[in-house]
Amino acid sequence: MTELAIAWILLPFVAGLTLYLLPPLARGLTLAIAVVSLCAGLGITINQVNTAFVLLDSFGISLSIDPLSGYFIVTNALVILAALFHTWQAGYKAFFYVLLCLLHGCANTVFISADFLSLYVNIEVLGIVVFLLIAYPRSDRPLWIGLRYLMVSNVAMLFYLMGVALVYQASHTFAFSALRQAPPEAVALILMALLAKGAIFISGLWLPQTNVVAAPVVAALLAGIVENAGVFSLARVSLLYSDIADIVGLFALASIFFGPLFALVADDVRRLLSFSTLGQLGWVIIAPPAAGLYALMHGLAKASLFLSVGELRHYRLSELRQEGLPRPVAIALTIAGYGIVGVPFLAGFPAKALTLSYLDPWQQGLLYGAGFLTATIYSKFLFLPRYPSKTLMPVGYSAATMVLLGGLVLANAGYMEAYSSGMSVLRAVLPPLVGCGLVALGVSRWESAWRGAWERLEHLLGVMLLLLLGLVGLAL
Amino acid sequence: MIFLEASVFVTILVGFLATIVKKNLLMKIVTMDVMSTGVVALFVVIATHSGLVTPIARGGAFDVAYADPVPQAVILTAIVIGLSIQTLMLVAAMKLARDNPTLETPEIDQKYL
Repeated sequence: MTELAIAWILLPFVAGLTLYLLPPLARGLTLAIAVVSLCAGLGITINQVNTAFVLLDSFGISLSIDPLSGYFIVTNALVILAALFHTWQAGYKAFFYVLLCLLHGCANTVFISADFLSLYVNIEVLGIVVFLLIAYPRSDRPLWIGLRYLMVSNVAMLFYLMGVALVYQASHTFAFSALRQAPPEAVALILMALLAKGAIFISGLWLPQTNVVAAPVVAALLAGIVENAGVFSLARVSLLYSDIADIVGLFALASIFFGPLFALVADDVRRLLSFSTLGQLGWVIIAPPAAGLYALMHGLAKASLFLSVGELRHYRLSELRQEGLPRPVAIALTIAGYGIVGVPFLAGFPAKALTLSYLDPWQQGLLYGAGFLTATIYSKFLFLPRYPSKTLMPVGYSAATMVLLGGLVLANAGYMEAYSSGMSVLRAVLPPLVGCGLVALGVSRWESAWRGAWERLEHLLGVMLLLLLGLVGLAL
Repeated sequence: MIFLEASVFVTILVGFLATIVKKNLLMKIVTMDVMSTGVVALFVVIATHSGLVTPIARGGAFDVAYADPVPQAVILTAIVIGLSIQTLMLVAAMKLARDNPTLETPEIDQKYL
């Protein structure tokens, strides 16, 4: 079992490096590793595999595979598959597929690592790969946005490394379980870095502009894989310690309201989607036992939303309201959007039901309220005019959307119990109806082109210091 | 020893604050390196808590106070990662410098955000 797991981890890296030598294999090999990971992820999730291996002596370098990682691995595989189909005929160079393979490998390793050190290495490599993906067009704007991302992520990870040093000093091991003996500063440093990488609350403000500037397929990868990798470790750590779960829950709750409020007034569809991502990532970590299903649902739906938006000629809502959307894109946007809102028969409904089932009544009430906000945002797409598209949609786009939306429907199987009570189905239908009503009444006109100064590099870095001070206060 | 540890933390803090205060992109990248040097030094200092002798097997005495090899071994990875990130950032800065000769971050932010 250990050998099998290690071989599976190494596979994407070997494939990625092979592609350097044999570029014609690019798409085939990427397809192969995505399929292998999909099978592995499904196997882990369905058979409820729960194992852990210690790889090295007593320093806590270990892997742990459980259904939670299974869900994240499935998301990773499906999103890579969709990105592959989307770029199949788009003439990307083999280098792009090398990056896809490495991204896939790093994310998989993050999802099964159980110690701070392998987490550090993989998250850092993930950061480098993401920078290269964003800067792939090599013009100035993507280069600057990528650089900004790399800087924020590297500074956050330096703080993380400081935290890891303090953890090691206290207990001479790097395992997650050593966090109990660690001083509160170490907890604060590590949490701050993970919150910044996972794009939670104000430390996640690097996200909106990054998604706007990145190519649609890269934005889909960011939403489906990269942010999940940051959030996953937060979920893992909160599952181990209830006091850390309380702190993380606080930030998650703040994020759940903060993101959608800005999404509501965004004038650009891509900014709308990324601010909504900020909120949804909060949903993922607020109930760590349900994080897997929620991340799967959100990753698939958001990746499909970004790919669909990539097919549009305009991104401003005001222009879209005049020009309209091609009908197939409008349908994909509506399905994926309402998937996130939590309409029955799409994975959003069981994911939300499962998340709510782990929470206290007051949190359930707050989250149900936030559901109305999300529903209002995604109802905007329903009111945009549509026109039948004269030319067929690109095959790659259709295939990618099929994979993602198909996954969104099949993921319902993750928590079938949600459909057992008619009351909850009824309650799930209420937010979309109210959302549609609000948009019809004119809520969608509140939008502005305002770009906050807080998205500048200095402010992104400065927020980290404030967050750190706040976290030290909370941890003490 | 406590003085050494304090100066390591001061290095990290100064490096971090300078990444915020310095306006020039190159300066920001260099100050980030200062911060990362501080973190590397922190690992080395932590390794010396158990002793100062280099942990290399040599004939004879085994009861000397060896330095802990684990933090030193581990930090090598971080040094390599830090180096590659530095290089990438410098290359990106070089490319950006063609259209933004001053490399002042507030100006670049205003232009591309």
